[in-house]
Amino acid sequence: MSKKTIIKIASVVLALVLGMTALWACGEKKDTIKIGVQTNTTGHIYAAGDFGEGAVVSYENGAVAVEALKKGKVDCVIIDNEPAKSYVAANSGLKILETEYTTEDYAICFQKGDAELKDAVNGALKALIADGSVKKIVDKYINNSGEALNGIPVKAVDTDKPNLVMATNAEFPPYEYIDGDKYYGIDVEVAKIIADKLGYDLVIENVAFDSIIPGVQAGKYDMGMAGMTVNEERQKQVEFSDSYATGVQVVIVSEDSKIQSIEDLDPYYLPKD
Amino acid sequence: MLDKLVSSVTALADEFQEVMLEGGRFEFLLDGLGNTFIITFGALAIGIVLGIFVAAIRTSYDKNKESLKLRGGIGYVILAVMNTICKFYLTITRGTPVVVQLMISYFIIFSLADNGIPVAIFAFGINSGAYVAEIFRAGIMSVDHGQFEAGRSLGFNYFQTMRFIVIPQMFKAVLPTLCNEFIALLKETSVAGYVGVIDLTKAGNTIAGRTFEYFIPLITVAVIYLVLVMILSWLVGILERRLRKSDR
Repeated sequence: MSKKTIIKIASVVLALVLGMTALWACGEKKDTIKIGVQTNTTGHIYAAGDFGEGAVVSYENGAVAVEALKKGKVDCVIIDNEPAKSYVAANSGLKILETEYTTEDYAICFQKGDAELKDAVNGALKALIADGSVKKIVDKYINNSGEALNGIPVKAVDTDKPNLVMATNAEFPPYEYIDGDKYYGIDVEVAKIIADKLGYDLVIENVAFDSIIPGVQAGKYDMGMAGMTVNEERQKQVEFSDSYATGVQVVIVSEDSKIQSIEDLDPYYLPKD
Repeated sequence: MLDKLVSSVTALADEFQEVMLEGGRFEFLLDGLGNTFIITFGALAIGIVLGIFVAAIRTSYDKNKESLKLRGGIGYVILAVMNTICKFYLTITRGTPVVVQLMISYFIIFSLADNGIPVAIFAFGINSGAYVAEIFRAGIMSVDHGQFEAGRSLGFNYFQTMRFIVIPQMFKAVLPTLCNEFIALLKETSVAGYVGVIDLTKAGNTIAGRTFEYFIPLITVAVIYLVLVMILSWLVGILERRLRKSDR
């Protein structure tokens, strides 16, 4: 076989492989549903349970999932209500379905057996909810009450107070996000007033959402606070404080999507046994 | 002492059972493994074919540019243009991280594709092609120029010299490096999760997220990768020994 024949064969093979890849990639859509989610969030867990793993496409963060929705790679995105609002506000052609998908409570997690810190935080939280401080923060971020946001510098400032290390995933506006060189968000500010009340210096560790629970379990962080929903599986691994906010999972769709109301999802639910 | 060991092994086995085997989680991991295979071998095929092409163009240009320039004509221009295109491809592909290339393929180049796997095959294939091309080129260049001259003086033309004298020696020289590239590719596919593909790593990560038990899924995934790489190295070892037979 001469080199020329080899090159001919090789070019045909390459063209075929590339062509088939392209065809496969743009192949026609069957009547199944694809639901975009953020990996290992409540939305992911619920959607996988309701619609099956095969129907769920999980992305590293919510913004990527929304980008996939815009490009038509998924039919809808199931995500927390507050970040959903930010995403929809920032992208035209998207909307949130009127009926929510689920509702649940957010809480702070601690290492199993760390009752001392948990009780102290619960105490502080109770007082701060009673005097309206928590509500004020929520209003700032969600209802745009106009009060100035109070960020925490990314680079921790040393003081002589003991540190309270909080693990979060600062990619979840308005609960936690980075703007410039400061952390902002409901969780960040609530943690700050709790730390102030208890006489700690708040130190924020920004890690992957997936690493928060293992890190808290291992005692690497004193607490985890990242718009985290209390559920049975998580309760086996960590302790939870009282709830400080309510999270709502909603469905984002594009305006021309086949999903236009929560009922449109019904045919795709897995049969219940 | 022994009792302690036995009981901790049993405890670990129980935990493995609970975390990995229940609720169809192991099948989920196997699906992930299957996708890792599909992506790796698909990318390998594209990478080798692309690599051969690019290496052939680059070495042909380097070896023949003087003589072609003297002869003049369109041949030199075509080869020079193709060489520039190849160099551009190598610069871009080796100069940017594979995750970024993957995301660009998914969201920009194939923005209409709703299945991440072919996109991942494409992206990893294009990426691997650049490295394979340089491996092949290094191999061809490492064959002593005397071998090439001997071929030409025996009356072989350029392609025949390449085909019968240079390439066989080159292949033996590059095999370990090529194997290295395959191993790297296999492990690199672990970022396919970025475009919504459930590969082995993502499957392990999802199981961990579902059970909030990280130790066992992570170790299981690590062991599977390790075994795959060991099998791959072993197979290449056999191939190397067989190729070396003709040395003596």
